[in-house]
Amino acid sequence: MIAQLRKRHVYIWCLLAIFLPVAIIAAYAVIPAQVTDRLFLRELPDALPEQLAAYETEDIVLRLRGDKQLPNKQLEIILAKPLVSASTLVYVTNEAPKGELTSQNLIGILGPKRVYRLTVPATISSKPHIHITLYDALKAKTIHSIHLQL
Amino acid sequence: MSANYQPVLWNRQKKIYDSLMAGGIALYLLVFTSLNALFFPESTAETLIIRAFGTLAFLMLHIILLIGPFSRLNKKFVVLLYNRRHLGVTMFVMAAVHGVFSIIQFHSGGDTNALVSVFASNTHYDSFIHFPFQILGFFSLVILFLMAASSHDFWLHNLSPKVWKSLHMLVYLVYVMIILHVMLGVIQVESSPWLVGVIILGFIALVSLHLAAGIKEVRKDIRPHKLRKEGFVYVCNLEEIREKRARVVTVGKESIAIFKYDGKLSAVSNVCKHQNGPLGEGKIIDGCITCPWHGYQYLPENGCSPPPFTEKVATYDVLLDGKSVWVHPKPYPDGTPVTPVFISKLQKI
Repeated sequence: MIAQLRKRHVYIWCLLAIFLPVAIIAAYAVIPAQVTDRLFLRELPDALPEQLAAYETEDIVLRLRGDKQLPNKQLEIILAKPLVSASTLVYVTNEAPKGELTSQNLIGILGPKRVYRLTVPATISSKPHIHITLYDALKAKTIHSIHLQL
Repeated sequence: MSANYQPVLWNRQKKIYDSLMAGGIALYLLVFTSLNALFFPESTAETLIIRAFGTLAFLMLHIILLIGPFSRLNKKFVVLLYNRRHLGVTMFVMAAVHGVFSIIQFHSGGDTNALVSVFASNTHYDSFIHFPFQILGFFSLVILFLMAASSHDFWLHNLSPKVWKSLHMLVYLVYVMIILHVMLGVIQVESSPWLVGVIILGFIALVSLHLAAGIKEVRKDIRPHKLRKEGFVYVCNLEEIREKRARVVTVGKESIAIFKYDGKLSAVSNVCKHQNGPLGEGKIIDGCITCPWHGYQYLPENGCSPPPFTEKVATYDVLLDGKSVWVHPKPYPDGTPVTPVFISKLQKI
């Protein structure tokens, strides 16, 4: 290697030695508090007995289920076709969200075509309106916005 | 080294190297697939392909970037440098499988063209946390394609070594973009401390080895020289040069290799015309200085490649005073014959 080229290599690696640790730390620091991958349920919980509300299209079926003995409710999602989004997050709120969705409202993640049963906390399911947002995490955009009335 | 262009100049060493590489790739894919089936049974086939080939390409990029400093620090690794291009082209193919499947999986199901979707689906270009990490992978793949497509000596000759080397040094930009692609992509979703640990370990290994190799080489460049009145520069004692090997001295911008062979001394430029390889780290084979990187050859007396090859390097005057070897740092034009200095029997003792 010629001296000029060697010098160029040394400068590049000195720059990388400064820039990359900063970038890695910064990216690590902004990881969401509730990491979505851990929301992926491997075991399917049993369906709660009572159907409280439903929404149905050719591609997707949503059913809100409950049990009088339990404070939390259950959102059953049946994917009849795979979603276009490869990593879809499920958020529940009482009203249609106006700003950015927070991790407090995140209840699950959808992947391949199958049945999902996600827990809807009593703080939200105790009210008469539930708004469900299916959000494409990779493209950072909402793909379904569904309002259910109990 | 070839007088005409051939796709690959196969030899036994390259066949062994490529067989080991293919075996390593097959083993990695088998182990990755088995572990994935065990720990992530819910993964789809597409996800498995994307992850297996993505991690494989990432690992291969690290190996490629480590070969350079390893070969500077220990000459035993030069053999890996010799065949690094095959590894680079294969790494591009692995990265392309990852990229193509990712675009199909994540961008082909909508009503927008899949390639347009890569750029238009997430437009948070002003945000660090939501930055569209896919485009970092996309541009890395474009650079890797250019590097793989231009890896043959045909392009080296036609683009010139300077342009070719500049293009291939974009691999460092690829490394930065891939680190960010991983950190802003999969790490944000999975937050695996193991994966982050592996990235940091790889980074530490790359930076420390590159800097260690660079410092070792720069020290040689800035070593002070004893000057004589006639402009000659002291190189070393005659006994410090092994038979059919060289001693390298750097004076200003000139890096000169002084070879000892068959009772003679000759000096040529240390920089191979092929890819700026260090001729002084090679040896004389069949009467020719042979570059350790890709085997380009030059005659020590005139710096010319033996016919039918046409490469030429600069030559220099050598002086032997007792057992002290001196070289004049002013180069003769490439390929100029210079009478070698003969070592007398007395000097050999």
